[in-house]
Amino acid sequence: MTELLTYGYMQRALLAAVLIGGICSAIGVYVVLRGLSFIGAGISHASFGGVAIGVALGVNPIASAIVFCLLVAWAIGFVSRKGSIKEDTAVGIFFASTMAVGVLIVGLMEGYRVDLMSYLFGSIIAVTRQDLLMTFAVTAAVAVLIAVFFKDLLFVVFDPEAAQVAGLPVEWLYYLLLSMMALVIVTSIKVVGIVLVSALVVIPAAAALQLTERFNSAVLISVAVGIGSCVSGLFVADQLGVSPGAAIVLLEAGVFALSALASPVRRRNMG
Amino acid sequence: MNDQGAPVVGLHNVTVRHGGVVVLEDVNLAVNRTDFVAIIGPNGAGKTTLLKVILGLVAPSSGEVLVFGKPPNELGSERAKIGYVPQITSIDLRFPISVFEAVLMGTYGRLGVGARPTKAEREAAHRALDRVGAADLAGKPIGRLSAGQRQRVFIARALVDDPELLLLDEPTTGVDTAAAAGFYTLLRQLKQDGLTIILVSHDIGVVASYVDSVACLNRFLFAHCRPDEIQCTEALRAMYGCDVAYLHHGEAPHIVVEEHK
Ligand SMILES: Nc1ncnc2c1ncn2[C@@H]1O[C@H](COP(=O)(O)OP(=O)(O)O)[C@@H](O)[C@H]1O
Ligand SMILES: [Mg+2]
Repeated sequence: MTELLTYGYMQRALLAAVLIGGICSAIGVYVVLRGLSFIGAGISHASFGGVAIGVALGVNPIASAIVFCLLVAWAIGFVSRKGSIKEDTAVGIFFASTMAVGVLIVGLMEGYRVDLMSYLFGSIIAVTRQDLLMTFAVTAAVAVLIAVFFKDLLFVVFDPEAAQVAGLPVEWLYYLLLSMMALVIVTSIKVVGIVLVSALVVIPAAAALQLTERFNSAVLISVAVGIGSCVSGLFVADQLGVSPGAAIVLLEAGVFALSALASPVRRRNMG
Repeated sequence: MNDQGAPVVGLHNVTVRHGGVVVLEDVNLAVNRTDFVAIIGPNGAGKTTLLKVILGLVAPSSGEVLVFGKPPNELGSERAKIGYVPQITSIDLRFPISVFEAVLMGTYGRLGVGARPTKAEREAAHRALDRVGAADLAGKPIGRLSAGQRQRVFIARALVDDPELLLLDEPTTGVDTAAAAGFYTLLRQLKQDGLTIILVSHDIGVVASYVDSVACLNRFLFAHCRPDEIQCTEALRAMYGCDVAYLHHGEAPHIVVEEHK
């Protein structure tokens, strides 16, 4: 297995797995606690439209998807906060229509179909230096934002009304959370693909929350599960010759199942 | 009751609509410094909405709201003078934080975004827990508290920044009678310490024996009076359809409610 590490592509893949596994599962704790999992799924599917636009325009597809998904995330947030439309309805609308944009573009541009398919299902071993740099930049930026606004995000997620009464910029922090989700999700589609990426955000956090009643521990456990699954999924996929994305997500699901079975938190809540 | 100065909270002809439905209509209310006011009414009466109007979380469709002499959304740093204890149903009790962390959140407004709590904030949180008699709960996850303990903890969070006005939404829901009595005694103590308290409840019987005045709400505010005044009894009868009689016992009027036949 160690000789794998001597290949450049495998080193890049491993680094990407560590960065993405860590940052997705850190933001995931806020996402799960605030009930934003479905928005995460919506954002990831919207990235298909963003990638297709990038391919069509001849710009970096991940960069165009980041811009596109930030706009979609803000739109979902705006519509569900200001309008009389519920959050899940807003996601349902944006989810399908932005994905349809991608499908439409694919249909118009026969030659790029293969390219786009790699975004749908991921291709971590095809991670380029440029991809890795972008992943690093996004991970660093989001990690710094989480570190700076740690306590404020926690307050807003726990009790948004009390946070607003206390004078915190609740709306701004909500959009910050949505923006971080969009950044992290789009950066991660290279690894597991659009179809599976929201699992990287949701599953490690959900597993961690089965195991602890402390927020800080939940973040640490979630990050450990995320990184552990991404790295071992990569090796398992390499050994068995299966899709890395699928291997990672199934490993995470396995960890979640074990956590739920062993959960002291769940046992207590069920009385 | 102290009537000196402008009211801490003043509502003038306040009407609130939620999607065309009138939830509050033409409500007038003045609460003075160190008043302890109960707003009672059945479920769906608009009690929570009334508190949210005072907090600036819900904008009235007409009328004027003044808190410390200003509209709630223009309060700025005076926000720290308001402590809020939300209805417990609005809180996720499986949330993974300890009692101490929850109370510490009461300092975040004054601290400002991005700033870390220091020793001073942590000490304030411990003091607030002491003040409500919950110092021993500091390390517990909030999901492991009894209903009575939980209410004390959320009051501690509201008190940690030394507010002048305390708003409580149905604080005794699920709390047993003995714990509720202790809880109201705590609120009386806070009033003695100089706090102005507005408490929302559908628990008429117990509330009336502890507060200075009662406002009866069911879309309209029926009466705002001392709990031993007769029109208050009439308003309660109109609202609940039950006979209400008062027994005077020492200084605090006690109230007995008989089931409607
Ligand atoms: N955000 C909202 N949108 C629509 N209707 C609402 C909203 N909030 C409250 N209501 C309605 O307003 C009425 C009063 O609600 P509320 O103030 O919560 O009453 P209470 O606290 O006395 O039980 C209820 O009929 C409720 O359905
Ligand atoms: Mg209510």
